[in-house]
Amino acid sequence: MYQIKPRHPLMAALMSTILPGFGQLYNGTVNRGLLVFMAFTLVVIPLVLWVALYLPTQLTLPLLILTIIINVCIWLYGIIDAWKTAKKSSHYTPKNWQIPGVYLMVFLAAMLFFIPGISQFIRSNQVESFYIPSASMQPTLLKGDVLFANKSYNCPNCLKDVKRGDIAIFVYPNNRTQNFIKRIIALPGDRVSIREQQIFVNGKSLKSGDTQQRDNMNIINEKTDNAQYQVQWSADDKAAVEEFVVPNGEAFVLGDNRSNSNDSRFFGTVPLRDVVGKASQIWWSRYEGEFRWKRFGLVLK
Amino acid sequence: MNNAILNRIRQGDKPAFSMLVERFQQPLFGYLGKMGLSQAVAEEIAQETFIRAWQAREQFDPERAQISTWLFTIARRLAINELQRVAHRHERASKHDGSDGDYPDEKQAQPSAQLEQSQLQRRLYQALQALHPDDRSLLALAYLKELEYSAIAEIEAIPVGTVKSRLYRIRQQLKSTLNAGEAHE
Amino acid sequence: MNKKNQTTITDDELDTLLQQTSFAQVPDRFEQHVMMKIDALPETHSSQPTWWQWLALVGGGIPALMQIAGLVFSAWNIANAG
Repeated sequence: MYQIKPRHPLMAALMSTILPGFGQLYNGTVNRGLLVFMAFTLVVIPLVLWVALYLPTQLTLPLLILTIIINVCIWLYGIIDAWKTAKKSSHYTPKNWQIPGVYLMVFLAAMLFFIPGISQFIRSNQVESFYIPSASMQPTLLKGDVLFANKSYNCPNCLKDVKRGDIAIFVYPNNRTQNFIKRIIALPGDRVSIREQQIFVNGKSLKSGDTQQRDNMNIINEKTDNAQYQVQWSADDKAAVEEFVVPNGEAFVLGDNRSNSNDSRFFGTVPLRDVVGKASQIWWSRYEGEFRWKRFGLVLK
Repeated sequence: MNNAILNRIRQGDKPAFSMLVERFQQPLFGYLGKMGLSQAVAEEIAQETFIRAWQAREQFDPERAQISTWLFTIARRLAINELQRVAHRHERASKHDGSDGDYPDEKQAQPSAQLEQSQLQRRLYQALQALHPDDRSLLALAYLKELEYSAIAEIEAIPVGTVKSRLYRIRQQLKSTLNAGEAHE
Repeated sequence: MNKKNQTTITDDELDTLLQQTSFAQVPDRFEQHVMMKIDALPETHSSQPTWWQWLALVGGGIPALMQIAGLVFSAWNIANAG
């Protein structure tokens, strides 16, 4: 007859705390353990995000908050289930595979491969968050904003392709360890020129409506393919750019804070393959101690 | 069984445990016999019940349960497992010839009243085989002097109220099996 | 043989029969047998997890919890975008 080794409830519960499904493995309820683990890692965030990326942008923030709640619930369920099952197992006989080596292997596989792999997948291919440290995209983005960027962007089989007017995350050409965020103004083959605080793409001015004046700045409305936004120029900014054609495979980007932005006027066009994400929704905004509550959840156009 | 002995058992006192065996061996065999198990199988399961009880002695909490309830829970699980194991191998057809268990050897020549009695007992044994294992267990537990209905309810994991009604149904079923059997002779 | 008056069995008779019949008997020296078997059992392992198991749990647990949190908040993890 095999040795009876009852399951210790605290051990089971703690194992499920540090890795969902692990306590179930200890209890011998492998299927349930797998279910909990898969629900926690694969179903909640990746699945919900795939759905969210199809839905209107306003829903991204609430759906992501929902994933946190669901994850916590699954985690708690795993812990409680592990505890209760262990408590009832006064006549438990360990299975052949329930040895320390197996637990170690499963733990390492989860911690070194699966979980970091899925986290990385989410950030690279679905949604990543970015902090805005500079004023170069004012008035659209402010210093201290934190936003979600849609990473299913500008890649094969991805949801969104690059359009003029997108606020895009890209790798800074002069220092590839840095991400920049600017607006896509022109795409390969477009003719671009800048004159008198107006942008001309393929002969048409982006300006729409009148110039407003505020402080010492000109606020101008611009309109492209499917985006409408405001930009600001210093009143006395007369810099011009002679017409040129955007080369193949490149994009011309500008910061909305036109007089105060390090962009394609200075570092040239950006290779399209370095354009990795599209800013979608602000989820946090705080500067110099002050929370800008109105900006929480703001959808970027 | 008083708490002093039970606590000594929990601490690993074997002589104390042997007192437990002596106290419960008779009722245990009574239970297993009424489950329709053969003598040989009953012996095996009775032994295994006590061994497992010994091995799990630290999990028994006198505050939370009766020793009898705990012991018979173990015995019940083993007995039902055995019945299910056998049922999977035999086809249903074998139910009527009572081959699920060897009937205990009949005594030699007896006075006719006792002969009738033991024939009745044999038919009872066969009628028991026709019952579902859960029903057999409930019936067998009910005929132990040691267990109250509440303890039986706990062992069988059913509400106390159900115990009485199910027992009635089981006895009726047994009765009609026995009475029907008469016609075939 | 046809004993008419015993063709059917009543509830009370059945009850008595069940009470009085015992189909399995306690063999001789059963208790001694069981105790011999128990003496022959191998040492049971302690039912408590060992100290090193707790240590491994705590030691592995801290980075594990960080990984788990990292997964739950993977979309919220902030990178810089100048």
